[in-house]
Amino acid sequence: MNESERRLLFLSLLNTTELIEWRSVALPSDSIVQNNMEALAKFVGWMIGLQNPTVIFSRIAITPENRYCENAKYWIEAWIQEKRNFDEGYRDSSLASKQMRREEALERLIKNHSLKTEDYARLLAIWTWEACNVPTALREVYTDIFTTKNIKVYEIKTVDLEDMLSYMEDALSAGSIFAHAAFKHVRLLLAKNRAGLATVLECRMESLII
Amino acid sequence: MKVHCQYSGLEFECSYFANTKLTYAHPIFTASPKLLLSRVEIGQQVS
Repeated sequence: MNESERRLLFLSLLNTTELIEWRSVALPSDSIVQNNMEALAKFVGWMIGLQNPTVIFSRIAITPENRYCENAKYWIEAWIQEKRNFDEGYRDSSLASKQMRREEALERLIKNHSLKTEDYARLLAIWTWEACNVPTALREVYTDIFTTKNIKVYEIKTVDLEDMLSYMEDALSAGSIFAHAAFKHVRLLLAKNRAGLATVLECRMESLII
Repeated sequence: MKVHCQYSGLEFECSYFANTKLTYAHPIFTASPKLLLSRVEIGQQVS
């Protein structure tokens, strides 16, 4: 590809963004074209797949004053930053909407007195880690502990349960029925775990003897 | 006939027919983004 072809390709890519207002011809140097081609291509590639028309990008006017496109790097950086802001906003709103749907489901489950917390422990765990903003790496481990049932409760290391409860106490705002259910569930697990399997077996043996 | 592209300023050959409106943009400006992206050579930065 020669210099003219590269310039044509660069300008036509700029044009496909529909963010350029052509008031003059654009005459970027070959080095400007080559140094910005990759970033522009990545941005255009992302724009092709963009389904949400609500995202708004800065518009650039090509005028006799900026026709050499010395600031092309900053135009593209500004668009990429706007794209990042959009992605973050979209991700945040998407997470918030998922959390709301979980809360609707959990509310029905918590208010259903025929169910035990362990019946919906996984959903409650997912809600709790999202509300506590627990790092992704920890979520799986915590979910395993949170959803432990029956005799497995006594196999968990007490210190792990204590750490998990301590994390929740630091990060989770009490007050909602979901937080209340989560705290109650974990404190019950901790109480069982501390009591130990031997204590439970002793109680059962005593009741059998009596 | 030869015309100057209204976007790039580059001269290009343009076929002209009596009943067709003459365009002043190089035909590459009508190409799809996917086609354009397929022509991009990545990793050629110059100082």
